[in-house]
Amino acid sequence: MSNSDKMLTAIIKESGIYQCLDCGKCTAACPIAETGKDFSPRLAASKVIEKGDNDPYVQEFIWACLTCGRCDGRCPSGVKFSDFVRMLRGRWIDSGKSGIYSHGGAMLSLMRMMSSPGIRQNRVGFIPPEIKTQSRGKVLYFVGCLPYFDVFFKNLDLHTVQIAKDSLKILNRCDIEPVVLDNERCCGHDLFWAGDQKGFARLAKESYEEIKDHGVEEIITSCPECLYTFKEIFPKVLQNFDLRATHIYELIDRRLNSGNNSLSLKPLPLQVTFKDSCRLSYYRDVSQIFRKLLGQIPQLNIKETPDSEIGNICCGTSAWVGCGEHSKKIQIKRLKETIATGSQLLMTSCPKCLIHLQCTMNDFGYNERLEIKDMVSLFADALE
Amino acid sequence: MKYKIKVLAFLCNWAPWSCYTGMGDLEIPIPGEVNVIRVMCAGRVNTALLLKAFEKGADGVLIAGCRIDNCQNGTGPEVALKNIDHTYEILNLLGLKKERLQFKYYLAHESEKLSSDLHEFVERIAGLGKSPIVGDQGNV
Repeated sequence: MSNSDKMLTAIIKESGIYQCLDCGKCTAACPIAETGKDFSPRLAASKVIEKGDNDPYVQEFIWACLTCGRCDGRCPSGVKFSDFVRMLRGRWIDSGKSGIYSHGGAMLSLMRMMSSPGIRQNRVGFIPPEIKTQSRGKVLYFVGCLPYFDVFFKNLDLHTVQIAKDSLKILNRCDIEPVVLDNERCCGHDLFWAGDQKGFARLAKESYEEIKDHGVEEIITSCPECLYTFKEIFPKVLQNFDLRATHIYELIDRRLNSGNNSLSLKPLPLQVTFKDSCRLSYYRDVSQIFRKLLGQIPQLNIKETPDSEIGNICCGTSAWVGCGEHSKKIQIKRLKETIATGSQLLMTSCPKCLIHLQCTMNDFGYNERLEIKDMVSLFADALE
Repeated sequence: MKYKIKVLAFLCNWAPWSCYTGMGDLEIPIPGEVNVIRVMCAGRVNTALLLKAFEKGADGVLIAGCRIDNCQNGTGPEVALKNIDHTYEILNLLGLKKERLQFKYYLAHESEKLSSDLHEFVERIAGLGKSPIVGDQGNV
């Protein structure tokens, strides 16, 4: 058995592919298969076992998969299918081939650049003067890619950086003056899921050191992907990782429960619909808080889509890998579902959902316009 | 050992490439720091390609296009300038100096101009020194 075959066997074992019962629940759960693509996780799995990963079906498959994890959640034998796809992407890249990325791979280039020790970014220019931050402290607000998104997706007229401004406003209201790093490095979520393990390890090391240098003990973030990466992936890659990651929803919830009235809410007479995000759905408790918090805003009418919480977690593309016909179909489905509820606002919890749905909204052939907003921004609007 | 800077030049297939082959005909030397990539139009060089050049360790990137009224495709140089402006904003966030990226335009006979521009650009990048980005760290 060659070294490459051994590696493939290890990947198959690690992701539990041998446990596959061939029941097909994965295909039934898959948002891509739902849009009509010939796309079957179990078929890809059996082809890899039978013929290896050079099969054309498998090659197309691994770059079309969204790694949203809906199949992982449904699988009765606990096959970690998205991990399987991620590791196969790693093998593809290690063999010297270029991956299939959207936006020409620009986002992944940015992440790799940020793993250079010598880089000195200036990314906190967006913080308004009335917001109080510190240069050293125990609590860090992790901004993530937001400043880059606003520049890169300028044509979409997005203001994702508003999420960071609103988060900082909420933190200040909770009497927290967080550290915000001018040279914050990306969490590397997309590099990890696009299969670049070495690049991710380099970035994670630099990112961790940068954060530690400022005396930080707790990371607060408003991005589900950053939360997921700090909670699940960093501890696996860095042995000495000792930072606590908290989502801003949890923090707000704790503050509201403690009876502190610094976060008193004013009525918002609106009807809104949720769009759950794939990475937040790993933390069912956090996505429940998301609903609970909005429920506390007076006069806010929440109307869920028929497949909320589990069915609507996918925004059509992830990790800047493959955005095509089927991604668009998924996005149009999300928008149509929301418009059908009669809501004026679609609430997202992940900036990527916001970008992808806004992109489709801009070229959506409908007269109805839907406003898409991050939940943190809506909460900040409701603050008195 | 003294660090030798790396400059990448994207040359449009039409006027700039003809200047470049003209440099060979006239036996004008090309600075050793320059690596040339021939593209079908300067407008083809989008933000992602420019970022990739810096990611891979280029210390400076020059895009050579045709003169605005002389483009075979119509809007190549305009698109290139738009892409460069877009990239400047990202380089600013990354903390890379915008002087590391430049656009120049040529007519087909301007070999001397291309040569002097390349030398001037190499000199300027040498003054700025090595890019803070560690290039060629791995696969893409």
